[in-house]
Amino acid sequence: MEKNTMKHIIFIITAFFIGSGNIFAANLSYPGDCKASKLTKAAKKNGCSVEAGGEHWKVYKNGNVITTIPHSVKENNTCRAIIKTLNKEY
Amino acid sequence: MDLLTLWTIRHRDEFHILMRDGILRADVDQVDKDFRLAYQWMGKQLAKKIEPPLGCVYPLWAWWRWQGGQHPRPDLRSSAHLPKGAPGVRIEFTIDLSEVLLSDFDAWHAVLNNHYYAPDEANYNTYLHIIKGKSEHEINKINQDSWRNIFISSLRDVDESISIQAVFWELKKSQISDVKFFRAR
Repeated sequence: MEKNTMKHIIFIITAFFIGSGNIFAANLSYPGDCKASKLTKAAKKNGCSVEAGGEHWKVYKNGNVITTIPHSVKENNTCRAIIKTLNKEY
Repeated sequence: MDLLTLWTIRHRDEFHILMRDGILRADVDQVDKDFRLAYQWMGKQLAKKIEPPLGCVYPLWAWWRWQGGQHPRPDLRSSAHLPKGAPGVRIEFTIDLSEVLLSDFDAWHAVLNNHYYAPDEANYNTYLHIIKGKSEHEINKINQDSWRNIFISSLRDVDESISIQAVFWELKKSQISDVKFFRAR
């Protein structure tokens, strides 16, 4: 196999793994992703489910609540902690 | 006396109990099982301020400022006050400040989600410094100690933008000033 072809294959494989990381990981960042829609969307992946419950969303995994997301998300420590939990689940 | 106007969202069945008995308290069987520990913690804090009625462990919840000072009364067109389609009622009532515990709704999520409550970045950075080398047990203790800061200690200079919830032990029929029935969206 030619050297250039090998380089192309390695490049494609590397790109795939970097890309697939973005598909499977929540990769939420603070404070940029402190929006209810972004957090709930991320929370619906990887075996988690989201349920409305009294002014916030309850995020379930394996039948347990792993975090709650307020309907109105602000850029503060509450959001930071939610992101930390969701990122840990992926 | 410092009277506050609050709004509580209840299922219509609870309203009928209130009308029948003249008083409403939290029904243990209706307490969300996912949040029992957090609700018990809140009950303990309220009990430090005002003694609970015999057998009462869980408080009732209401809004003082649903979406900050601009929208204190819960908007019934908004979703998720109750499970979708449930028959609900928004009860407006007055209560003396000495009978309620007010807290920042957003900060309350530190208790619900069992994490540290940091009111600002500087506090959070100090926290990160403090917990270095600490055991999980010690960190949990520090986290739980931070929860005392979620409460509104004075009505003066309250940030207009924050949502403020209230807990109290019981609601009497005589306290009601307005009632609005709705179906949860």
